[in-house]
Amino acid sequence: MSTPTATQETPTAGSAAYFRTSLAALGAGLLKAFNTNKTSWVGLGLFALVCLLALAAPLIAPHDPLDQNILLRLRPPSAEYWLGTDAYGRDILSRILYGARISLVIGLVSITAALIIGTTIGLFAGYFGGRTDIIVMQTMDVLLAFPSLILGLIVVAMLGPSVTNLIIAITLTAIPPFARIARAPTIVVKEREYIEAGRALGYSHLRLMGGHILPNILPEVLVMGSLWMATAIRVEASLAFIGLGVSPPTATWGGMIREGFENILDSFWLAFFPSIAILIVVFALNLLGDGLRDAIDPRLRGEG
Amino acid sequence: MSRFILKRVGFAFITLFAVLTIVFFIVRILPGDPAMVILGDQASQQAIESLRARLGLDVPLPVQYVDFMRGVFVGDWGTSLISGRPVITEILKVLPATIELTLAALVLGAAVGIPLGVWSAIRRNTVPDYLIRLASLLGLSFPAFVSAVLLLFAFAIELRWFPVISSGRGETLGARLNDLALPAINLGLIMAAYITRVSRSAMLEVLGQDYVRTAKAKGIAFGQIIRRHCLRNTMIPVVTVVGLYLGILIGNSVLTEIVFNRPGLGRLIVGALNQRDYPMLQGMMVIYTLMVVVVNLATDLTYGLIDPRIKYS
Repeated sequence: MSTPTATQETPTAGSAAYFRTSLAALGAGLLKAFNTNKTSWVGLGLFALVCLLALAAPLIAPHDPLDQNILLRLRPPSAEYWLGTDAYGRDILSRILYGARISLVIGLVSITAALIIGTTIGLFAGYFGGRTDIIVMQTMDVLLAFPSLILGLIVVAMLGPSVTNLIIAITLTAIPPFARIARAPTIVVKEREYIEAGRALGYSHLRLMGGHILPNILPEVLVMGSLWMATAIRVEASLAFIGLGVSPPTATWGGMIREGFENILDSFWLAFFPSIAILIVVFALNLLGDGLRDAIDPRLRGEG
Repeated sequence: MSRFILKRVGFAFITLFAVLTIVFFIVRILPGDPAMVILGDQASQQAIESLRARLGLDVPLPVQYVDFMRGVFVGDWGTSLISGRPVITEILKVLPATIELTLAALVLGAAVGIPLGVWSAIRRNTVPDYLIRLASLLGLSFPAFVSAVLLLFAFAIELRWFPVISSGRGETLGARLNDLALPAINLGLIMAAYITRVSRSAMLEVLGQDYVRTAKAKGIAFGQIIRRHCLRNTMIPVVTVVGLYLGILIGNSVLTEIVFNRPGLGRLIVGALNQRDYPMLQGMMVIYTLMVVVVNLATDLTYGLIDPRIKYS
């Protein structure tokens, strides 16, 4: 009879110790998932490399990303300018390195916010069920079906393009999928015996949700986070391409492609190199998330 | 069957009302008076007041709401601030071009994606399977404007196979198809990446079913098992998920239309954004809502047609 002692110990052992154990279990689970599917290591490695390059941009960028030199405009790739220069004579490599910072910050912050808000909504809806659940999830489903680019476009157009507003717009579009992914397992987990045991011991709803259900659904939520960060970076670049990105002269990948597109006939490298940069980051995040998802849920192997 | 259809249609109407309400409030809740946004900070109080009256923003919110809902259903979507023509006329003028593009992309995506996904599932964990999975993951990593720019560069500028600018108004069928080709390939390949992945996992699910094992045990040829027993059951999840991907399809069609400078909803919305054409933006959101609800309804109904089991639930 080990179960009763375990449940009796938990309250006295304190929630800090419990939290540490569940965190360790989560870490071990993720490590196992990584090793099950090696492609996720490739994705993580690529993504970590991009993060490192973005962090080190001020140290390693060969030129000032905003430094204009009209005499050196539209130069093809050379020893001095590895990836060439743009229409204002700015170094494209340096702009790509600095542009990575914008993409990553917007992607990370908006998806972290969406993850927290969406997971909370999904947890509450799934845990309490009933009419609230139906109404909340119906709204989420409809928002999910609405084109996220259009929603982002309208919000940014109304609020004005700035890093903060882009984060708000992308967060709004990314909340529904997290609510959905958090709700489904919550409904299953809340019926388990240990939750009932916790309820019998008089644990509060918040403690049951945060301490006992959340650790169970966190791996799936984190995998979604990686996949949706890929989407967030894609949406940010798309908005910048349409002209709703962080205002120039700040370097953003989507903005660089927008400017480069005007010179596509004679200087293709302007649009080409930032395109490759976006592709690498999005592909790395998709590899990472897709591989982890395969490992966590073999039933979903390779599902879109 | 008719009860099933009726129920779905009723449900679609409720959803439509809910989303239109959200659209109404999104446009009004966002900070900043639209009239002030349109005219700028320097505008006189009088100019702002008169524009507010023109936009119908001077009446109480409930009245605005009723007007908005009535307008949506009788086809009065307001007047464009830029062209002065009714919003609905402007939208209906370019809608066929967008529908033409998205349908072509969907057909292309299904024609490429379903066979690839099915093949990949049958050859699970072999080299072709890995290659197809990697290619489809790469395909859905492409922002639509990046692939569009690359395609445009390769096939229109370097190889000169297709026109750089597709007017979407070709006189003959040949000219029209020529215009449509590159944008449809761009959008179609991205959709193919998504459809390949769904078809693969749906097929894997079906291949694991008992009736497939029974068929194998009976000694039926493998090709026949796939054709007779697996394909139809694979289609059910594929149809649903394709309906869910409508959002991605629409977002990508906007970007594709911009790159290829093709008339359609995409160019209309960007124009409206740049000119702060507020009634037009609201109209665009209404048309997108209608499209989402109609396609969801169509998906639900197709689902019932393919899978007879659904009707009874």
